[in-house]
Amino acid sequence: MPRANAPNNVAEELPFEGPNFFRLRVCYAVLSGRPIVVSAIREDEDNPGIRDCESKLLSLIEKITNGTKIEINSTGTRVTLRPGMITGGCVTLNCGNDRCLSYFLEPLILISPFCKQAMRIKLLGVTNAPNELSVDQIKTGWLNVYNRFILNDEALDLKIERRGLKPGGGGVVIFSAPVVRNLRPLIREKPGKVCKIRGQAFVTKVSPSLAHRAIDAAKKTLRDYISDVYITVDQRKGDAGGNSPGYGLFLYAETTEGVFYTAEAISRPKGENGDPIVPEDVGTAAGVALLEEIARGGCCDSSSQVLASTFMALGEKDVSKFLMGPLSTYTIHSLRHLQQFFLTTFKIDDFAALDAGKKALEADMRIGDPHKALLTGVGVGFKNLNKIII
Amino acid sequence: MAPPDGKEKQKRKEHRVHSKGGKVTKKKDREKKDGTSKVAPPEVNRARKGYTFKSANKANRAVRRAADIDEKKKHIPYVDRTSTLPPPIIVAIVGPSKVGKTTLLRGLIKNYVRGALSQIKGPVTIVTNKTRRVTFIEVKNDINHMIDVAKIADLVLLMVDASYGFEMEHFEFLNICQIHGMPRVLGILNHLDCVPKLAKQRKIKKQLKHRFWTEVYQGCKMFYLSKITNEKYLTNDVKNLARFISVMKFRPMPWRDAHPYILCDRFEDITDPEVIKKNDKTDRAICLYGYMRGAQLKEHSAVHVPGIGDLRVASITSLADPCPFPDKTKRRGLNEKEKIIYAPFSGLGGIVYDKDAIYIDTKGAQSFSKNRKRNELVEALENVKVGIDDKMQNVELRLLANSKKAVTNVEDGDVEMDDEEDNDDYSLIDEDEEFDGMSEEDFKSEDDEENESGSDEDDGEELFKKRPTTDQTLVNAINAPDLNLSDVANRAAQLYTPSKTTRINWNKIVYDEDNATKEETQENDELTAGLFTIKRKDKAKTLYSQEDGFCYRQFPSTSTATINNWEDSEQRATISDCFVTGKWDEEAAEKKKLKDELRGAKHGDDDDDDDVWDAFDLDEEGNPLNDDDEDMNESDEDHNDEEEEVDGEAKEDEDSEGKNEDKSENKKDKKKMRLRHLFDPDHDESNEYFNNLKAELEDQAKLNRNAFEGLEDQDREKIEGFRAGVYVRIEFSGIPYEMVEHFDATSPYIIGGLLTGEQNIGVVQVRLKRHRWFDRILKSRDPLIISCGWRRYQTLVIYSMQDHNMRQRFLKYSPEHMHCHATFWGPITSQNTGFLAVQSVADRIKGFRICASGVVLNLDRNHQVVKKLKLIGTPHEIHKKTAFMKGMFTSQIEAAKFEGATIRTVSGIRGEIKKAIPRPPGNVRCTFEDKILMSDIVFLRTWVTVPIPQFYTSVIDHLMTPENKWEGMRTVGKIRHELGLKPETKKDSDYREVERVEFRAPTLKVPKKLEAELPYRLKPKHGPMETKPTKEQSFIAKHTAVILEPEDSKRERLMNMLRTLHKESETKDKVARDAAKEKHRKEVEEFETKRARNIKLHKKAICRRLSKQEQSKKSN
Repeated sequence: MPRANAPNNVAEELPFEGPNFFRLRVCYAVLSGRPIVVSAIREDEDNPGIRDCESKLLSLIEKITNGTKIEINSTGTRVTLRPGMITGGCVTLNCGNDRCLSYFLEPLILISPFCKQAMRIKLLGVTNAPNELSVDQIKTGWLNVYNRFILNDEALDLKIERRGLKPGGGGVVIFSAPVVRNLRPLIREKPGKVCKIRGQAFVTKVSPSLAHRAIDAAKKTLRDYISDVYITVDQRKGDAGGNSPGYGLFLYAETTEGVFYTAEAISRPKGENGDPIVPEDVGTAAGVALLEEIARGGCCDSSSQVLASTFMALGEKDVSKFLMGPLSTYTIHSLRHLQQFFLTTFKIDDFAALDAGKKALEADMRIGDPHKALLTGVGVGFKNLNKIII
Repeated sequence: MAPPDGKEKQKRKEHRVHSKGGKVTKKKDREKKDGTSKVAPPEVNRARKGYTFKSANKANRAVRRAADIDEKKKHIPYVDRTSTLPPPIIVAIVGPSKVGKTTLLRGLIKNYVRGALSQIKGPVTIVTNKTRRVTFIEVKNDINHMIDVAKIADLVLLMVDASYGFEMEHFEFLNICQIHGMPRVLGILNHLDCVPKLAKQRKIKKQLKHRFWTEVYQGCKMFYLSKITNEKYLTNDVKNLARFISVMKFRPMPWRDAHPYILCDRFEDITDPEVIKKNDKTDRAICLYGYMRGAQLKEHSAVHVPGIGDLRVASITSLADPCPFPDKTKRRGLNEKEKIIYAPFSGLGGIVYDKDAIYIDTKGAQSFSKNRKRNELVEALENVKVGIDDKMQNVELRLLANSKKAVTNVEDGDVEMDDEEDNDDYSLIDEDEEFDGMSEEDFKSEDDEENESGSDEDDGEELFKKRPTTDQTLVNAINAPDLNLSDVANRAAQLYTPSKTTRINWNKIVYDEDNATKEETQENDELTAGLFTIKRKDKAKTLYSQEDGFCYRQFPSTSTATINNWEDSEQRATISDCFVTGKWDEEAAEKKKLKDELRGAKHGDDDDDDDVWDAFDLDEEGNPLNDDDEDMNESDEDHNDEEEEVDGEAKEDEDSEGKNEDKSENKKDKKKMRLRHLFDPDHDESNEYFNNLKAELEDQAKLNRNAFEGLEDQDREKIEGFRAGVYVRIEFSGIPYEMVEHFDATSPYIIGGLLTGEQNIGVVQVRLKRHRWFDRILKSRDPLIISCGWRRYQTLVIYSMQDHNMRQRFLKYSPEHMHCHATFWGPITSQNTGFLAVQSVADRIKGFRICASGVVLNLDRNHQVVKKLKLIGTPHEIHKKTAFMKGMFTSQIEAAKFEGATIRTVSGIRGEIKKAIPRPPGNVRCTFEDKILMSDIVFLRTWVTVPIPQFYTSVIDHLMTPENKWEGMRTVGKIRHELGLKPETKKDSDYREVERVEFRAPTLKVPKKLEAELPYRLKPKHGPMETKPTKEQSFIAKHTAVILEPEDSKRERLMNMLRTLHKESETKDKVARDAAKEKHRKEVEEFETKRARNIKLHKKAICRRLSKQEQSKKSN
């Protein structure tokens, strides 16, 4: 008699297309344990297939996991990932110079609390790059959202050992994170009021006077709001300054409730063509970016919305609430990916339509963008399956 | 009794004067007043320590004891995630066969509802109470069912045949329960009437009770069914039992709290009959129904159905509750109509079902008189006069009440009726009286389905645009072509303009699939005004084909594309209230003020300035704020005022009087608070942390309940999932046909939800202990059937022990009485989950079947279990410290793996393998710390990884018939036993007699040089030097005749003669001595025999006399 087989249709692959949100997909796949297929990666381009940074990311994932199977087809346009268990541990990786280190740090941060051994990862590459999230922003913006979700954030740190700018790179950062059993549900509905603005102008292999000029310009942009504005200069020489000259200005604003808004502007990398930039432009740009960030408001800055929403979804089966500024495209897609991977859907209310928002509007509060989004959601009951019990 | 002495008077009882009470106090008061008090005032010092402790040790102990008791009361607090509408509790009736399970179930059902069920199969749900529903399920005597039920039952009625006592099944089931989270257990003693004597009955009761208590817990409730009459238990017994069930309370179990699960009480095969007709072995699509329990279940989530396998939910729909609670009016009991019974498997009533609703006909089980009100649903159905199809023909769509008909006929198919999203805020369709019987939702969704095929996106959008909310600014703001709908839209717009401010429907932006697709399909349009303002370097690039990580700065909702001019003062003012210097709302301002005050008070003492408040100081002093903005200025002034007030207060502090007053007030308050806390157990300071934690979790629980309160069920289910207590229908596809073919309603069908990550398979490491009642030890790589989490599966287990350096050392057998680690390939289940193992589920083996239990420790994709490997080799060539080794490896490749490994000779000379040499294969070059000998044996000690067999198969007993049970993989031993084979033996492994050569120690040789140097006392003593005669000498000695001198020869002869004489006399003496000895022996022997005979005679005579004496005594 033919024997019946147990059906098993829970391990099917999730199909995706295109190179965008590659990190999110990989990272969510690793967290959820669901295999993915990403196809049509730069199919129509002159240089098809995955780039160097993507392959580096995959190798990083391979290093911090156990049993991950990655298949890349010959043209590199199709990647299949069967995730294994997350081990974490100490890893060093040279990330190349085409993408900023934040590209690698973001998925690492999302994965980091659910490792077998605490993560301590040394990344080499570019720490600050134009148009990209910088390592400073991650350190201030992301880690200050991260630590709300865990009880003990002692081990959580991002250390910038060396600064490296494009095109030469040479930066070194060390990211370490604790291991948790589960994340805490979080209620963050009040962003508070900005009470101080701090900043750091960094110069690598150029004169520190450029930094001071940028600081002056930024202070001019940030005038009239509060007087508690302090911007320091971080001058890097020799190895600590990486391989390329450049300068930039990183600003953050802290509120009474401990929310951090970050902004950054940076000089044009050496050798890149374009209009000449003076330090004043950099300073103003950073200041404007910070003001925009404040205008958006919420309980996290716009880049760490992804982190907050992911960690809310990965919590216990409890309700979390988080007020965010207007959702960025990246966040919107991360929410969609969360729905695909973890089947979580958030209730997203327009802040202006809520009682608190209405009150604020009635009181003629000028709190920037009225269309903040209040995310309310239930965690999926995610537990760290990798932790060892002795 | 002696009479009382005349002199001594009988002592009478003394009169005792009251020393307490009303009269006495009155008297005392009076005397006090008069000043005639006789009682001396009590001594001050007496009993001063009456209520304090006298011994510090005792006090110490007492305090500790109190603290211990206090601490013992505490449980780890948890977030209460139970839903407001509790699902029916599951009461499982368990026991071996022939203990009266079915009779009890019948009795219980009869106790609740009138009208008996003809035949009970599967779960029976009854509304027993205003607040409680119960699902009864009878469990067959099958270990699979027992395991499944132990995972879901809230209360277990464990039936015991009192005349027989406990059976193995009882202990097995209790063990299963303990491992899978202990449900409440109620022991029920049955067949007590089979024991005739009352005393024996009592004894049995007591014995069984105590045995039961050791198994469950001391004082566990046992229940006795005293008698059976007419195949029924006594009504009172059953009623009492029912009462117990109704008041039973339950502790939450972590596994069930975290996982959704369903006990299926209805089943339906929804495969297309045509397909089945073509091929009756095709995969089926089925529906399972049941109450949601545990956590929330989401659509498309992975589940495990024990006995079938892992499945992904195709769809879930919540249905009308078949056993609804009665109205919340205050009545004591339920009336007959409200005691609803629901048991589709038992064929209770005809069931009529629609896709989204079930109609139950209980065949008058509850309706006794005809005028009684009947089920609303049924009535509504009967009242329907026109069929659905006809209605569909004549349906009209009105967007608003009293508005024109927007759509008159659906047949065209080009006009969309409605969109689900449109109903988010308000219903577009007026309630139609005719459709009472069916919920409106149903109707709509049906319409949707019908029209979906013909739906055109444009049409959908048109309706969209009619919506008055500002979604229209988000969704394309193209002018709608004028339809006859326009006036409706206008009206709607007038009616529904909630506020002047625009609103963004974030939910729609994020989750609306239309948007997601639109953004891809419409990229050629100029979408800048639309949803996504995508900055594209290359116009042809869609969002998905852009580079990753650059869209952090894109905000589809805001018009930040038009870069704000932050130089503009108006623009700058829009965020002025985001800063501490801006306007605060009332609450926050209040808080701030409080903080300020606190700070103000502190200010005088120390300048411990918080960074946060630095800003204010600067504002006050420097006032760098711009005067452009009046509001800002105003607020600033306000702020300054506040500061002044604070300062004023600070000054006041100097005023001592006011201070004192304040202080006394404060003191009083403090005292009050302290007193209050004293009587409030929750405010006990020692419990502060615990209470805070509890309060926090309570808040979270409250939030969990209230967060989605106002939402519609549909949206709520999307966000939260299907909550516990909801009756759902779950659809699956791709089910093997056997499931349908061999469907057995009497066995439990469970759907257990899996959490993220639990759908995968990996290496599971567990801590395991062989059960002490299982009569064998377990062998590595033997198949075991493991029940862990929801699943039951068979896998091959490797046992290991953890060394001190965390190395997992392979064990061939599980230890007898110790915990060990076990590793196997199986589904990933979260840590700390309990599991149990059995060797076989198919056949009934004698004895206890559960062979091991334990908890999950670690999950991974591979795991290293190692065993010791000792390779032996011998040298075949030695050059100084280098040696070539043979016999250690068989090939060069193998040898190459061990290059660099440390080796050792038996005598302890350490070395290292340097290189594998090509010829002869397997030989290696090694170096040692010293020169080794050819006779040395060389060891290589290493660890070799034991592979973990990747075998995993889930137990699919639901796909098998009862006759053809699931058996799975058998152990080699079992197969051999069944085939009657003996294990093959290798000749090599046979035991042989060990031949041992006796050890002979060689003589000690001291080198001559050394001997010469030794002092005399240490020199070996050789006696007189014996020089061995040389060959020549011995030859000479041999052939030389010795001729003695005549005198010498005479002496020699004499000596010889003397020697001979002495010898002769000695032999003679010996013979004489022997003869004498023999003689003496014989004499002694003779004497002894004589003596024995005499003693015997003597004894005989004495005995004879004694007996005679006795006889004479008797005769006397």
